[in-house]
Amino acid sequence: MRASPVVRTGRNLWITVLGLYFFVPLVALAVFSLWAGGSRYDFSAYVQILRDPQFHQTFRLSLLLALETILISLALVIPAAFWVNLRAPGLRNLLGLLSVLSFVVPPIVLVGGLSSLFRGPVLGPEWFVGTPQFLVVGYVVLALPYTYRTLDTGLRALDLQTLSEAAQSLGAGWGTLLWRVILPNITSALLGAALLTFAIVLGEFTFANVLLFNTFAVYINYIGQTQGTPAAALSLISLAITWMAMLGLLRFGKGRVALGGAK
Amino acid sequence: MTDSVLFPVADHSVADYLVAESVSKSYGATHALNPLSLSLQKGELVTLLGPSGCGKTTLLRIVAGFTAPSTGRVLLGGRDLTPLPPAKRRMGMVFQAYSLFPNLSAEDNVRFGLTVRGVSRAESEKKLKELFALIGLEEARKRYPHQLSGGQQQRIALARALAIEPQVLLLDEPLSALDAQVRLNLRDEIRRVQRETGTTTLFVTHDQEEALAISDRVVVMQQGRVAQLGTPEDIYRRPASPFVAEFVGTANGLDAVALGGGMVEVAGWNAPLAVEGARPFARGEKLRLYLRPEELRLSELRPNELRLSESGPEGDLSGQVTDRRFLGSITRLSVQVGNSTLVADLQGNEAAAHPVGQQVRVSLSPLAAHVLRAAPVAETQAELAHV
Ligand SMILES: Nc1ncnc2c1ncn2[C@@H]1O[C@H](COP(=O)(O)OP(=O)(O)OP(=O)(O)O)[C@@H](O)[C@H]1O
Ligand SMILES: [Mg+2]
Repeated sequence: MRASPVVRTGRNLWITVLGLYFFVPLVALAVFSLWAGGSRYDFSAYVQILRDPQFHQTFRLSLLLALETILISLALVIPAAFWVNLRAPGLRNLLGLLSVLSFVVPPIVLVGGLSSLFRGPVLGPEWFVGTPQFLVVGYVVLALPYTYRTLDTGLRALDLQTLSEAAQSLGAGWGTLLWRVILPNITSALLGAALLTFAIVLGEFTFANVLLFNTFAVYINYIGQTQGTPAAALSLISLAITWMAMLGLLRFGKGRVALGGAK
Repeated sequence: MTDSVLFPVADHSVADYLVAESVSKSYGATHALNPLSLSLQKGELVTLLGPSGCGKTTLLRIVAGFTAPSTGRVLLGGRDLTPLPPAKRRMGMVFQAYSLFPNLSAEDNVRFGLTVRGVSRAESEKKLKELFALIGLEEARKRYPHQLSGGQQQRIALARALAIEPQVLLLDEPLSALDAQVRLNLRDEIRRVQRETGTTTLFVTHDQEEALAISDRVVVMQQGRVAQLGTPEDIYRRPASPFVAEFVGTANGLDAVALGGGMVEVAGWNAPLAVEGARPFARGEKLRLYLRPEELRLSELRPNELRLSESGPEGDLSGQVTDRRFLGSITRLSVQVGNSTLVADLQGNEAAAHPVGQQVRVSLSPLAAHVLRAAPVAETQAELAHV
């Protein structure tokens, strides 16, 4: 059935409004970032940001923290989600609930709890709590809702029991099973989890600000409060970084073999 | 039951290769498997046959090592396997669900067990070649599981299981997800490959025809017990219990009473029937009489013969054709005899001579009838309700 002209016009209008909602601010931001006073437009704001050693330092720090968070999250969550799906599906809901706790607890409370826990007599040697690496502890918790959900969905799409038993009967141990059978079949979930974690860590402000570490988000905030056009340029740069990461993911995803046993 | 202390390993006959020794499995109060013993000879194909929930998969998984038995142990060539994890047992397994690794091509799937075992590249290449020739799928080597049909996937799964030269091959209803035609072909294929490789095989199915067609021996299971163990012929011709008779093959089951001297009486038939197998039963004993549909012969009764009693001079019966169903290679006729309905399977050309409504004489070939002592009614019916 073909849509009536009224419906079609309505639909197009709606899409246009939606497009404007997203793109008008971006275009305005881009125009503003190129403004160099009066009626002159150039790339000086970009040059200023890219020349700023702070930009490079904070970005590198956040990148490192993101990588660490991704590795630690995956190392923790993959075995847990695998085990729950294979052996204790009854615990799945409990784990799902636990993983979203960081949505309920405000970051400011989380960071307070974390630092008092680690500054206590038991945990947290000074050399660890005093470095930005300490942030990773909190970031893993912040990313948990995304990593757990994404990986759980990926694993649920597989017939874990049969695949595991097939691999075991062929002589594979747990390591081989995870590395050669399970992980290659959840690559899109792994990439999704990694990308979300990356975005969260790059944009996380509260933890770093409270604990006085100079991360990329803190730098963006500082520039935003103190400078005009460079702040706009910086926003666009960080947006571009995220988009590039996303595009990379999509391209990688397309080249892969389709999943699922039988058709 | 054999007790491992009283019957040490050496007591099993030399030919016994795979031995399950009074293995059982309980899940809380559910007895999935009652203690049972079973032994397979080297190179033999034994089928576990039984209705859903009778414990076939449980027994297979105990042998494979995926389920720990509650009691008993599993021996292979005299060695106790019970403490070994599945990965150390070298048993090839084919599952009911499609189990190929989706991220690997057909040949990489088959190669998986070889790589895990550290077999050299050259050697595994040679093995792959042999196996793909054996299953006749050389052209599909590079394809991924989602590019293969169900039957092809199961053949690759078979090749993958055979690649490690398993000591025992375990198949859990590998054909039940396939279409009828593919199923028949693959069934014969599995038997051929099994013979050619000489692999000792345990095959699980709930399809009696499949079991009869491919097995050296069949284990009929009933509620976690062995109901009968024997060759397909034994199982079919000489069922040990009403359960086996009714589960294996389509039998006309009738309640009967022994009259002594090899004669039985069926309620509603006005003459007794001579059945050789009934000789041992004393007069008055309650029996179950089975008449195999394919062993019944029909001939038209002419009007002048109608006056004869319902049981003719040679112990034949007479009745009326009430229904016919065309099943391809055979036609299945229903014949009303007294107040029971018998099913008779005839070849197409024979069946054409007997339209619905015709009066017919039913003659029994020597193999047609089999009698058993009647089981308590409730038991048999409860079990067949599962089927
Ligand atoms: N993990 C389990 N926990 C509890 N009960 C179980 C478990 N696995 C099997 N059972 C029970 O054990 C009995 C035997 O199960 P099994 O899977 O061996 O049957 P089966 O003969 O393979 O049946 P099917 O033909 O349906 O596959 C069933 O009653 C089943 O409910
Ligand atoms: Mg089963």
